[in-house]
Amino acid sequence: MAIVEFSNVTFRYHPEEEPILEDFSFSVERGEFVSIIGQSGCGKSTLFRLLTGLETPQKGEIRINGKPVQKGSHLSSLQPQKDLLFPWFTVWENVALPLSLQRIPKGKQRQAAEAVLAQVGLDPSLAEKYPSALSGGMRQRVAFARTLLDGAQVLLLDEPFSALDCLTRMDLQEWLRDNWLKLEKTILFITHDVEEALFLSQEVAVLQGKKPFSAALMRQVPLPKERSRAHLACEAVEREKLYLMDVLKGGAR
Amino acid sequence: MKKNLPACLTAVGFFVLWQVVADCIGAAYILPGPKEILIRLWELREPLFLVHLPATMKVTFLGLAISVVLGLGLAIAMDQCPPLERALYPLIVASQTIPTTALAPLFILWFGYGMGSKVLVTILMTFFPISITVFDGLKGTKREMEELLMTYGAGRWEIFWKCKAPAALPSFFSAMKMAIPLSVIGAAIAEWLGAQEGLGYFSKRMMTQLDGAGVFAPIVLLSVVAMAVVAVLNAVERRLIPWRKEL
Repeated sequence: MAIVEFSNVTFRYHPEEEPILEDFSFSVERGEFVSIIGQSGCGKSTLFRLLTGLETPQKGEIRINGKPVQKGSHLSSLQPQKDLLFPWFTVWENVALPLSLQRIPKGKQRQAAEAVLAQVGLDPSLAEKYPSALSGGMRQRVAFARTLLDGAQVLLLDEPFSALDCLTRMDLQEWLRDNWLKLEKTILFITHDVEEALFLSQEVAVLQGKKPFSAALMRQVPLPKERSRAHLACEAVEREKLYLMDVLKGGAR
Repeated sequence: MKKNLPACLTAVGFFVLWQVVADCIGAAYILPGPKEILIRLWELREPLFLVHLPATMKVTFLGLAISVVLGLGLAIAMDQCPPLERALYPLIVASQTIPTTALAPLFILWFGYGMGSKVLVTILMTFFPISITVFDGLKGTKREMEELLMTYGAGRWEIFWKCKAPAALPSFFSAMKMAIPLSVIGAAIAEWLGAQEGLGYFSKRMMTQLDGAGVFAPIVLLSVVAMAVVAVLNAVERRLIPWRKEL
């Protein structure tokens, strides 16, 4: 059953501009891990802005879990490209931000924040520190903990690892891959990196060609759910990688 | 300390040069040296510290407190209500070109020699810088942070308290550091124009007596008070917003 559905959505930022999406339909099944790839500026992040209700389509409907997405409907959890930790809050206050907005008592917020910090592999003793005391990788984990604590079934991760160094990025990719099944969440993951998309997801959605988009090219990743980085070297994945790169360059369809 | 050494050395050099020039001129009623000013400050300590300093501080802090309340109120109102921003912000920015000190005599003319007119002059000097600086701070919040809060279901006031207000704190402190010396200047100008007490009044009285060191003594006192308050504010700022550099 589809948990995320775009039905004939048309969207443009300004009335005088060319639409980014026109009669765009797209769906994601419950519990899936789907990566969205496409060239820079093609409108990948726009999909997330529409899913979070930050933008409203001019036509069509977007549903999450069967409910229509509206401004302030809060049906998904977004992790933006930058970690966007609030420097004036401690680590636990940052993590518990979604709970504080739900007026949950401070004691419970703190407990939940420490539990989810442990879940993302961070020492709960970091709870009292300020974000400035953390490394880039730790900050991303804290941001991910905040996204998890938001409690939505659908997680929207917008290039969360793009600003990290290679080793930290690989470490976090593996952590996310290992934990996705335990988390029982549906994940939509925007990336520029074809290899990252193949390693992390079950399915890759490609925004290809020129705007406006009316559909995404959906490609199954030829790998089992349980996988390691070594799987990326297999011939089927190599072939898929070359195909996707070709599609991104505007070649194969 | 090492960081401040060049500034300290420059200041010491300035005072030494001033003393040398004052000694060469040898007319303390026109240009007293720092040494003569300090001696006069000590001689006049009773009227200065017990009568005139409290009077000026009363005007300064009352004017500043009202300015902070009004300035913050206007900044928040403009931030929350875009039509109000469009109606007032350009006028407030344009009003900064008016030499407010030149308007001070009008307040004395309208409201007399009482405390009210002096407080009004102080407010006039400090209200606009506070409102503009704090408003700019509120507007300078990262849009992505506000949007992230929106995705969590935050409303307008939740965004204000969780994001805009803390992000504008550095601007508030900058505004205060600007407003404190301005409020002291405002109070002193109002007292020069007409008063029975206060450091501005005292300085003017010393001028009529051709007491150069007596003119400088209250100025030194005013400067020291303003610097001390700004130093306290700096310490509070460092403690309250250690994350300032992260913005």
